[in-house]
Amino acid sequence: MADFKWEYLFNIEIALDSLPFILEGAWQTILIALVSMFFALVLGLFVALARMNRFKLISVPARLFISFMRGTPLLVMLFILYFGFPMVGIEMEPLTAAIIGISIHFSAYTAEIIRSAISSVAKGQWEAAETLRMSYWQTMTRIILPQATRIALPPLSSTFMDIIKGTSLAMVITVSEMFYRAKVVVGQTYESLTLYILVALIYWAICALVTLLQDYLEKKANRYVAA
Amino acid sequence: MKNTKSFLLLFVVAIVSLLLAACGSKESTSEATASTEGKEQNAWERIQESGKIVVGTEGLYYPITYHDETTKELTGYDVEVARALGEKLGLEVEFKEMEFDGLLPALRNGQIDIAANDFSVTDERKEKFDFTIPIKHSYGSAIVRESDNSGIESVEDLKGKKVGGSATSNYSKFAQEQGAEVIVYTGSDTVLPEIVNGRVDATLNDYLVLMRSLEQYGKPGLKLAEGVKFSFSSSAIVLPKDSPELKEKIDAALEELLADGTIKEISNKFLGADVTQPLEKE
Repeated sequence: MADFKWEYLFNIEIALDSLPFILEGAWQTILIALVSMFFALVLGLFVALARMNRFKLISVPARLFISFMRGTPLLVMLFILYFGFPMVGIEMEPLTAAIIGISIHFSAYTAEIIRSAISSVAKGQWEAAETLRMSYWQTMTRIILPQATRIALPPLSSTFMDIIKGTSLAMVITVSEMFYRAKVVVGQTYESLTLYILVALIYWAICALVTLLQDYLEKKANRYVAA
Repeated sequence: MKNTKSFLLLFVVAIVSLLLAACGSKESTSEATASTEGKEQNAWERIQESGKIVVGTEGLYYPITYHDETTKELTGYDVEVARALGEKLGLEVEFKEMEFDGLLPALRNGQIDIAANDFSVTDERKEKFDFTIPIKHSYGSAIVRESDNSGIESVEDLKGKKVGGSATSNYSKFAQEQGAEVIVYTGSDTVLPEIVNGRVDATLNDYLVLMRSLEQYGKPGLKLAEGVKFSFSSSAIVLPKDSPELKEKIDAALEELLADGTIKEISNKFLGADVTQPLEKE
């Protein structure tokens, strides 16, 4: 360890100097993550329902979608959307490409979470609803989904954290999010370790907030559950 | 609630200890620099002992450092100069390919021994690194859209335009100084199609490099902006700061390679011109 260079570990002056510039990128990160999480949830719900449909014409494409999205890296997806699509005349802003890429990539994961949560609600609940002559949608929205939500919360918040961290990949398609900005500062100062530690701490702080949110939502969802 | 509290406590403790570690490091800086002298002097000895020199390069920057289309081998002007250098010094040459923006930090961290990637010699870089004697003299120009010149006839027109390049590139800094907006790309290979499709207006670089890139790109829609000529500059291999013995050895070897025409030959092969002679400034 004689070679350990303490002087490069964390340069507080440079960290503080660049903090406002980095934090502006953190807002971008949070914005992309929130919008992507929303779309990933909505899309994921539909994919999950399609995947559970008894008609093959509907369930097979959903299966294929999930398989493809889970089987390809997000980085490759972003390159396809941003650098590849212009070749066939489809061009989009870096931010749009990032949000689309992250949303569809993670919708496959949310779909599987939602599917497993729905199927873990006891069969008797469906039968009970049927005796009350409730329709499929009524049963789904009033009985099954509220119970499934409770079960899906912890894995969904893990996915949300993956999305937050996944936004850092958007830098390769020129989105000026937090990690992009860190690289710009590294370009000016060559203090790579300082900047990378700084953004790591900020990512961690954001994800810690998500944990608090998860705790709160879990408590809320558990209200009606008998101890 | 208890969980949350203990978690937050852990979080605070972690951050505080990191900050403390950082403060401690600041105090030890003087100590560290004092000890670097002894250590850095050994940079050459260390290389000699291991029998190999580790060269950092991008590998995605035609025709300076790239992979040959047929053999897939790493080659290019700077790569071949580094190989010749290794041969002269009796060292095995090991290339480490990384993003351009990672090269100088890696050199600073000691992950590579030297960086060969058409680095212009600038005062700013000299503060943190040493350079060998120049191995390339050239000037900067730009690639623009053929159809409308991207509205760029001269250096002054760069103002307000979007210029694509690496975050740490000298040309990006120049573009910024001219009032252009710099869009950061992680590899030089992705920028050219972006000019054609209009997401950026230009990319700046050495005119010889740009001409060769255009040749290799091989698709219509782009051209060299003849009117854009700037910063007559010299490029060199970058060395860690304060390693006089290493610099001495490498400079001596480069001088021999310049004198016996080896570098000139490499230059003609990859750049189609002899870049070893200083240019007359206009």
